[in-house]
Amino acid sequence: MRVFLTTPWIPAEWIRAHQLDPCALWCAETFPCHPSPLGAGVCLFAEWVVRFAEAQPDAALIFASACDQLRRGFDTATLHGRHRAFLFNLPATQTPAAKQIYRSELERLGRCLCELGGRAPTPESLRCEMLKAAKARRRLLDAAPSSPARAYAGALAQFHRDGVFSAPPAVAPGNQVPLAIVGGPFCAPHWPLLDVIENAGGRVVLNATETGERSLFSANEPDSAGGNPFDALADASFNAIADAFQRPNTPLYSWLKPRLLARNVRGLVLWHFTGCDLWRAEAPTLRELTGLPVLLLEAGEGPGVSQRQVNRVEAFLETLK
Amino acid sequence: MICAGIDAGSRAIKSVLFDTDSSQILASALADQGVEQERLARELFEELLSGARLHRAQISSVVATGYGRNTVGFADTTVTEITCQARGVHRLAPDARTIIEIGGQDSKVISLEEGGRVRDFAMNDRCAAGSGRFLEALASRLNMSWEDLAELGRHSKKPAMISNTCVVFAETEIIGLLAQGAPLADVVAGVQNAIATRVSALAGRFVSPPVYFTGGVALQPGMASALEEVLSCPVRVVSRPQFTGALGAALSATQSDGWH
Amino acid sequence: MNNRPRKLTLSEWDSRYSQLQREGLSEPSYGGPLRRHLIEQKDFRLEQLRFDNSPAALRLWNFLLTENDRLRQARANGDKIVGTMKDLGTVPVMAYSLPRVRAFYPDGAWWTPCLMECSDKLLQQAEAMGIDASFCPVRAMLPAFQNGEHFPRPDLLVCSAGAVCDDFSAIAQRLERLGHSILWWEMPRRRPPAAGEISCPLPGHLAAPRIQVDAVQAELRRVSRALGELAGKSLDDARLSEGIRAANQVRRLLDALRKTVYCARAAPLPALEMLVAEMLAIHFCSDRQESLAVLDGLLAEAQARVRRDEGVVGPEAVRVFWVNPVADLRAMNLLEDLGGRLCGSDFMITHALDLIPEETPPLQALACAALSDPMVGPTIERAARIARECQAGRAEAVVISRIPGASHCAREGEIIRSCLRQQIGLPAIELEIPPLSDAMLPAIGSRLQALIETAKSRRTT
Repeated sequence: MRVFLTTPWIPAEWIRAHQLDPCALWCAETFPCHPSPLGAGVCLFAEWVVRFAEAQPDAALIFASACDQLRRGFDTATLHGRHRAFLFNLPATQTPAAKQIYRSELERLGRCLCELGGRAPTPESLRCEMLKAAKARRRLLDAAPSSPARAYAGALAQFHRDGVFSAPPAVAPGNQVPLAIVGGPFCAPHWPLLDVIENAGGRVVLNATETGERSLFSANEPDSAGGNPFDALADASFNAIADAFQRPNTPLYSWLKPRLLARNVRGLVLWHFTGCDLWRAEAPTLRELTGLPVLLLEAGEGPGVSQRQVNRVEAFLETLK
Repeated sequence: MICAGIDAGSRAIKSVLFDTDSSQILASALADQGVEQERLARELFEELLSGARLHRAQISSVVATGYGRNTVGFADTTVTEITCQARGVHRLAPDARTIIEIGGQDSKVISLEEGGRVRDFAMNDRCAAGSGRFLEALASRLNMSWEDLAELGRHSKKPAMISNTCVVFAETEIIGLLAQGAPLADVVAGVQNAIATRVSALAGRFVSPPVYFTGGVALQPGMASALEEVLSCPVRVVSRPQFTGALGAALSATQSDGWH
Repeated sequence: MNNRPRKLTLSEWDSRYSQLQREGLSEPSYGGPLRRHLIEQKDFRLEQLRFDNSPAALRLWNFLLTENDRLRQARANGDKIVGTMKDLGTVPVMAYSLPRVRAFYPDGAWWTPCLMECSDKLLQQAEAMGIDASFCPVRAMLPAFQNGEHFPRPDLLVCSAGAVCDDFSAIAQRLERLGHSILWWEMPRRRPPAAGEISCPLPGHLAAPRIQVDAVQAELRRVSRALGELAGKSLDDARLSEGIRAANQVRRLLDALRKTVYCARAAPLPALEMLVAEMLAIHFCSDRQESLAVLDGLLAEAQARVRRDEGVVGPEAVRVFWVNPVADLRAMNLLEDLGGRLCGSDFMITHALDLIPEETPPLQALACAALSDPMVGPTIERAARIARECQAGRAEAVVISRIPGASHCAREGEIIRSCLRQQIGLPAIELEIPPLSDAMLPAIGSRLQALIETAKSRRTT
């Protein structure tokens, strides 16, 4: 049975270990990413998730509590008694209590997965899934610096959808302007933006969006000598969260800054959905802490890239060249 | 008893004379709205009376509604458009459960109970993208009349996708589409779809059939089917949709005890 | 001068004040004519509002409008100032349990630009600091912190994170980046207990699993340690219990006031004063003792008017339940001008109105109180409470006001309306009220009027 996730911060290997099939919703074939009329202030990504929930009431769907949009999206989706939706309380802080919350949420999720027909994993089976996932993540991370942006986005999507890794072709660095894209979910319908960037003389060398490289939280290899793999999974997954919703969100910048330096990034594209306050508010901080110019791009009410976005990208790259 | 309703909208003033004894609309008239709203309303009203060979003294009550209702100084009372549209549409279509009214610069969705009482409503009067203003802006840009524009939309094979939610930006987008060779008919249909989409976002989950469509924009061929597409249910255009507000205002003059 | 209950303009209050003085008005140290706030603090909005004509209302307004001055005075007297953010009602109870500590909500700065009619340029300054109009008016807090012209800079800043509204959370994070150190504490998103979990009852007829109560309790223990360190005294159970009892005194008084006003035939006090009075629950307007006196005065006035069957709004007014606070206070006057009256409210702080359990160990009780925040749990639970209170207050219509830019408003209105329609069948509208609603008044008025007409039409069947 497929279990759809709306966030990368819940380890898919936990679901796989329950003998269910995790799938990142933003990569799913049935994700309804088409133009959608939005009420004032509603985030398009959250709207797509809600529409998926309505169109597929029998699908198992895990929402994350990281933002108001998804928390209340969960409320909307379950308003008329949808039973297979789970709201995972993703803590915002990094306190001991928050860590305990995360751990207990994984346990609670596990119980729900069993109700869906899954089977509680043995330590060995969990360790096995963790090793497989860690290996795939490590290979994807290794491939990041040399992969073309669009192919890498595709490879990431395949990993999040199917749990498998296939190496995108490596490409030698050219003389395009190296950029990073940072922000919320960056789904396939919006990938043409990467082509627009390349056509304008840039190249995304760091996809630091929620669904990009940042989602490959550092390979958490379980201790093969023993120990409780669940403890290792809970700890590593919690400690790896690096996102704008955290308070304080220093882990995000701890993750981002060394990579910007290592890949000689010269400009940042802040990608966010209209209505996403958490990311939009990071624009001045990104400028201050990275010292890089930042281009704000908002996803509109549908897929694709608008002429307005093309103009902004072109102007941005002209200033960087 | 003859009652008068005046709907002082943002783009047009409409007026209706209603005979409560025969339950008939005796006369109706429409004029463009302007700056001197009171004068224009009065002129229209007098023209209506003259055409119906009636005097002011024969009108037992004048009720004003619409955006400019408070400027109609000679009205005996004012009632909001929500109540008036509900009453007017219910009179013409007693089975209506949802009313969609798209006017010159706003749109409304009104939910009715059996018997025509308003249960709930939603209004969008802060954004032109869900109103007739969008179509007007396009017509003006293309130096066409509203009617010609609407007629064109009938011939669309594949409505264009208008991505901008702001009318001002959408205008630029439309010019771009036309410059790229998009058929005008498709662009018109695309605008109609964009309006319908905004209205469906306003309606949310509160649409119960039968759905009736009223307001000046309901006269545009293609708008009703655009609404049907987004709402996934049949949408019927009420007869004489520009006048339902004024009719409802006239009916309000008789409603001292609520709904029948 | 006519002493019957009515609403006065600021100019009319000038005369009224003179009259009261002649009659021997007794005022606290922060008392005085209302007009001085317009002159001294440039609260120009006061000229657009209408106020209840009672001495109790005068005291309430003076109490509200002198808060910043009183905080500065407290600092000058050596008190410690704690800025508590987002949890709206729990941490101040803890802070006020310690001697010489005052707590206030910097979030409350959102009213400042509205009251000052934006002459303070706080909203523009926020935009220059990277937080534009797509965020809620709480963004005014950022430049207020930077320029220090409103509230004094707190000695300690405490902020809940997690199940809190995004725009506020983003603004608070920006504040930290600007150099204001914040003690963050985790607020989990409340959920009903699952099968097999130990259930903890919460105030407001709610429940949460024990595991969540324990988590919040652990967080509040951290907060209490920080508060104790600030005060140089241990915030032990005895102090906390005393603080809870004192907070409950305020809550009981407020409950009595709400019941008296909302259940009365003719509204004895206006909607505007009721909104302001309710806000005293969250941090006592920086003076817990004085907030009791203010509420006591309002209650006495309301009770006297009820006995005389007098009200500022007559019995024919449509009974409206109002959801969410308004940026522009003028909306409260407008409701009554158009024939409505308040019969109940959910200004996002209902958990600060409920009594904190006194029989439970105090930190656990506070954790339960914090978790019962309507904004922290499922929207349907908030809607259920609204439905119950609508029935209790015999509401005929519901207004859900939207705060421009507030992330929770994007979806909650539709959910609340859907629940209300299903459970009690009342007409409900969503109404966006910007910080200065002057240009929008015709549109807002039209919608309110339509709602009132709709409610009245339902009376006759």
